[in-house]
Amino acid sequence: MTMEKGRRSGAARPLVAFWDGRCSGEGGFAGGFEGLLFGMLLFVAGTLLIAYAWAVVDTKAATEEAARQGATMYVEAPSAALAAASAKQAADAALAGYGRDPARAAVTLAAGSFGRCQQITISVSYPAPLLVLPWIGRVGSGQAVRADHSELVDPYRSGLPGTAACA
Amino acid sequence: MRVRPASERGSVMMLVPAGFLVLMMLGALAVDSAATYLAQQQLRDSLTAAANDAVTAGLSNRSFYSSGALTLDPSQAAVFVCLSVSAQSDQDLHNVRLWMAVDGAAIRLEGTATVDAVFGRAIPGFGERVVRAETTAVAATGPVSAPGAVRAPPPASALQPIDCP
Repeated sequence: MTMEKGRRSGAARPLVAFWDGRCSGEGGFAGGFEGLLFGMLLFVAGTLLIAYAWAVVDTKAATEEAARQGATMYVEAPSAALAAASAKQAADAALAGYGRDPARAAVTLAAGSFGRCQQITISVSYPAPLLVLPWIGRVGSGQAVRADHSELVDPYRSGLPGTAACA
Repeated sequence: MRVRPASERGSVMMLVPAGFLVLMMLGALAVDSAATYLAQQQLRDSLTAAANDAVTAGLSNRSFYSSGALTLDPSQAAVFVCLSVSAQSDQDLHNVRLWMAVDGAAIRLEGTATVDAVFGRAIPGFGERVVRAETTAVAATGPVSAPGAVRAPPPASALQPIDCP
């Protein structure tokens, strides 16, 4: 009633007159359901992204180990005829140890040849799974992950022609 | 005069995306840590291969044929270390720096490298991590499969940096 009188008369309104010390009826809905939807979207997309990144890192670890084992077995093989088969067998065993299917891997001799002082490089490529689900396993095929490992054929080893002069 | 709201009811729905964001950040941190660990393994494997290569190809023929002793030629060993590390073609490793110590038939390698973070590169200051590894190799004659066949201690001399071309 005092306020109404003040408006009519044109007198200055005291601001404190609007505040009665209570906040009744100011409850609201600051975040709507879009907050929940946005959160779910963020959760699903982020989980898929991180799961795929983890799958790539895991596949990279498997291929690195396979390439390393393959290169080691290649340079220690008794003959050139057995070198490639030994490398493939070792790489497949390493991949199987990581729970991967060796049939999906590509093991190649990327550089060098079987000879004294030869620097050889074994390359292993394996497709990273798009998604890893509990109880279901790896689903889909994503980007192929490749790893190389290089080693030198021992210059002083037996069974090979030539001299031990690598320099 | 103390102001007290009549009700403390409200919506905590905005906490949902915030909570998920925290979960995603923790997942990204785990992936980055795994990638860094993998890079460290790569560096260690590269150094191990380089040490194995250098300990055979870097042997001094002159020393062996004159005295029968297995001795590494430091300059030749450094060349093969560089050749081996560059042949690994580890594209994930940057700014690879190597140190080497040679003592008789033993070689010790130490290296550092920089690796890019997978998710951390979006945050200034967290885009790169430095990994470090070291390895030792000793040249020996005869079979080394027997336990204790290689008894030579690792080099005690100081590490020297290697300048690879």
